[in-house]
Formats: sequence, C-alpha cells, structure tokens
Amino acid sequence: MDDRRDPRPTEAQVNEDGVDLTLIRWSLSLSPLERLRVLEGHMEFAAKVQQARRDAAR
Amino acid sequence: MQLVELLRVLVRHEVEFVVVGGVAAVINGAPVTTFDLDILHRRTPENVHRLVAALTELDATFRTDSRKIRPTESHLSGPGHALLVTKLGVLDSLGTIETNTTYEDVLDDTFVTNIDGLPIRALELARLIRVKEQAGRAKDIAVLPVLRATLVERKGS
Repeated sequence: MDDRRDPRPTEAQVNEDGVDLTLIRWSLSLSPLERLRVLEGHMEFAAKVQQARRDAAR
Repeated sequence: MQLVELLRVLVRHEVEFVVVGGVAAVINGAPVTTFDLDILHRRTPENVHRLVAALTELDATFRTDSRKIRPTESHLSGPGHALLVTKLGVLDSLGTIETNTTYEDVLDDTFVTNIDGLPIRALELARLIRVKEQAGRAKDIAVLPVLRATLVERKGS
C-alpha cells in the first residue's frame, strides 16, 4: 500500500437525515479526551466571536 | 470553558455525578457542540457536601441571579436544576432529569471512561437519546438525527 498517494475526492456520505457520516466516523476515531479538547476549541472560538461582536458594537 | 479542568475539580472532591447533556453526547462520540457542562449529581447529604466544596473552589454562582449567590447544600439537595457559572465555565448541576429521574435511577445506563486520568461517568448514548426525545424542546430535537446516526455508526463499527 502506497501511503504517499493523495486521498481521492469522494462523494458526500450522508444518511437519510442529511447527517454527515464522515464527521461521525472521524469523531468516533478520537479518544474521549480528544473529543472534549475539540469541544473546548469550539467553545473558545465561539467565545472569541461573541467578544468580537460586543467590541464591534461599542 | 475548561471542561476537563472543571471535571478534574469535581473528581478531586470525590463528587458522585453523571455527565449528561451535550458533553455526554461528545464523550459518546457524537460530533455536536454545546456551551455548558450538565451533570446529574447524587443527592445524598455527603455527596451534596462534597459538591458544595467543589463549587466553592470553582467560585460558582447562580448565573440566573445578578446577586452572584453561591450554591448551598440546601440549593443542591432538591430535584431542581442549579444553573451556575464557574471560573472554568458554565455548569448545570441537576438534581433530577426527565420526570424526577435521579442519579441512582440512571446508573444502569451509564459507563465510566478515562479522561486524562479521570474516571468520568457519563450517560449511555441510547439513554441520552431517550432523554432528549422526552424533553422535546427544539434544541433537543435538533440534535437527535446526529445522536441517532452516531448510535448506528457505533453499532456498525
């Protein structure tokens, strides 16, 4: 197996509800700690956006 | 929000709790986001005492009241929800979930996982789905397709 090849573009893999299954599979590949670190990153990003909007409104 | 550090304080104080809500969904592998940590705490006097000690270390106050009132054992001994803000983030400490379901009631539907050396008990995904179905709020219904798809993917892997 040549692992130097670029990954091929693939069709979107969604279920009947439109849920992105590749995102779920990626999340399941992480450890619980890694999942929480990703979530913390989302929270931090959202807090920064909210702060930026508050600053811009002043 | 420093989720892991918040959990670390609770564990260090030997608080008995189950992670529920969006963070439980994430621990279960669902790619969803949330902005608070929801825990269902055991309401024995000893555990509530330990919880108050942890919340004191976390500088917790009720976020629903501008007087910055600190939670007491009395506040946390009942079935209601203590909606708090701490120095590490937003924390909801729940006396019950669903219709008067307690910590003891859900234990069979929980699992303990190791998170950065911490033994963290969280609600099983199938039970979490039932909780959100019963809650029936728009924000709960919105996340159900992702939770159900995660459950299917886990069974298939």
